[in-house]
Amino acid sequence: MTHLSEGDLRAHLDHELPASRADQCAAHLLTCPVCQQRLAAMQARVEHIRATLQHLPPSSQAWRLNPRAAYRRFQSFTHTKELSMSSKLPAWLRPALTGALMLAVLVAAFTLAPARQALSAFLSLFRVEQVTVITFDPNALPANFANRVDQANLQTLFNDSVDVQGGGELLAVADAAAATTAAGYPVRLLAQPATELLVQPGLTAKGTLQAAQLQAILDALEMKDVTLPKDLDGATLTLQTGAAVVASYGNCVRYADLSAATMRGPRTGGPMRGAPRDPSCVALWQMPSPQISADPATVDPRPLGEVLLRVLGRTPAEARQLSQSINWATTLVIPIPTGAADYREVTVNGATATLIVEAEAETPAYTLVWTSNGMVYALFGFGDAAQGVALAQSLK
Amino acid sequence: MTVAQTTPTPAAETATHRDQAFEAVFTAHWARLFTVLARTLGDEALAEEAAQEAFWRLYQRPPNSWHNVGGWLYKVALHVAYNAMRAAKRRTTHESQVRAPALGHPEAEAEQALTQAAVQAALQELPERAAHALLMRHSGASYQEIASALGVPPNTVGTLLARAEAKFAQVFARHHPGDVP
Repeated sequence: MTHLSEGDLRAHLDHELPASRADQCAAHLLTCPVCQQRLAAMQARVEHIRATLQHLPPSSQAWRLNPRAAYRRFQSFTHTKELSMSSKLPAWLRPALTGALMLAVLVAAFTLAPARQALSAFLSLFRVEQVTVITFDPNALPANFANRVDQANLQTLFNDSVDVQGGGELLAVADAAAATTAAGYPVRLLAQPATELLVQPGLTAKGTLQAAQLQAILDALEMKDVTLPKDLDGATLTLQTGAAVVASYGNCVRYADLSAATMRGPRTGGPMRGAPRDPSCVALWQMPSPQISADPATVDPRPLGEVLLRVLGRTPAEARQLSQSINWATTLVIPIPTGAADYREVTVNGATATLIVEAEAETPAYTLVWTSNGMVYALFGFGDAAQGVALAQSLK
Repeated sequence: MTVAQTTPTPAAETATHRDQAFEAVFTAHWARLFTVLARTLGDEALAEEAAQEAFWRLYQRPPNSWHNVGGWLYKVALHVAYNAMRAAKRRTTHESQVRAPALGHPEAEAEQALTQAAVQAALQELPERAAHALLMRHSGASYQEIASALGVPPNTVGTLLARAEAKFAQVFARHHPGDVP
């Protein structure tokens, strides 16, 4: 008679055989001493391996094992994630379009907590000529990062008030001509008719930096080894943005719904949850290259860039080295959580563009960012990024 | 200066219910998923990150059927972890952070370390899929979960396990003589 296969014996041991096969195997075992012996040997081996593996970490005392504590850590993890990745539009577009934050434009470069947005603003002179991607590990952030920095009270970074001129409500406009009039520059659009066309007026904001407060924030983040240059204290920063224009095509979520959803706190669901990703949805964002100037103009942005990189999890040595190699005055830095997206350089009509594609998604979201003639452009869509590049090339 | 405050609106009833259900799934699967990942990757911090990422994706896109969640979680977490390791190639990511718990007895510690080393060596000599199956089964995964995690038919899991264990026992014995499997 034919004996039981190894697979059957093993599955029998685990009670994982389908019912009919299980009966057959049991019946065979009753009368076959050879298979009985093989089963016994296999059982002993399984038991030995089980006992041996117990020696492998994690031990049952491992602190990471506890599910309740793990769930709390998971909640912090999701909070960070949602702030950066939950929106259908890349997170860095949102603040520029809400227009309420003084640092709205540089928030484009820094996707997470308000602290990072604030820190990122402290560059002496900034005009976007190129884009670079920095990967970071959101779980390497200091625990309770967002809370701690909020507590340090960002508003006190500038003395009493920041003077903001311009900004205001998002305007819906009917066509390219109306957009051009509202924006004050020739608006470039795709050939297909836009589903939604919006203009965010530009603004100028000016504030005077208080280094003591910045130091307090660094202390709250436990970055006690960072010393700030003395000339930061009392420096006046001026941010100037031109009007931003957003055009959406195909079947996208309406911007009003989108911004309402993103203004809610995390973990509340909302229309974005499980919203279908329609490949016909493409959004084009454009804006004159924003400028930040400082008085005194001699303020060196590199130490601040270094702080930013530390916040993003780089070691002090790495942060220093990386900060030296980035031309902060001309580079828009986009932080991406490690593993969240793949990115590479492509060409759009001769200009170097950065293509960021969401990893691990059935219909990945992609963002294409490039600069041309003093303007910054971003094209956003789902699915085939090559189509996005083609669309970008076709801009009129 | 007024900074726009993001005020969380009260969670919708369905969202709360969904979160509670999710928490139950999380609690049910966490320890085992983390254990298997930690043993597979040899790195507890990476295992935790990968597991969190997997649960996050589960939260984002709940499946139609929940009965293979364990397998799905494992597959996604492994994928995330391997990508992260590739992306961080330049750094010394594969430093194992796994340490034996201090037992207070030098001989016992040494023995523990030896056994661990032998286990790691044995696992490394297995084909990848076999190692995954073995670790998953020995942390309590069902055949269905293993099949789902590895993308193989469930009726092949028994064979996969039997062969994995035979090979494991053989290699382990070589690295850890005096111990008869």
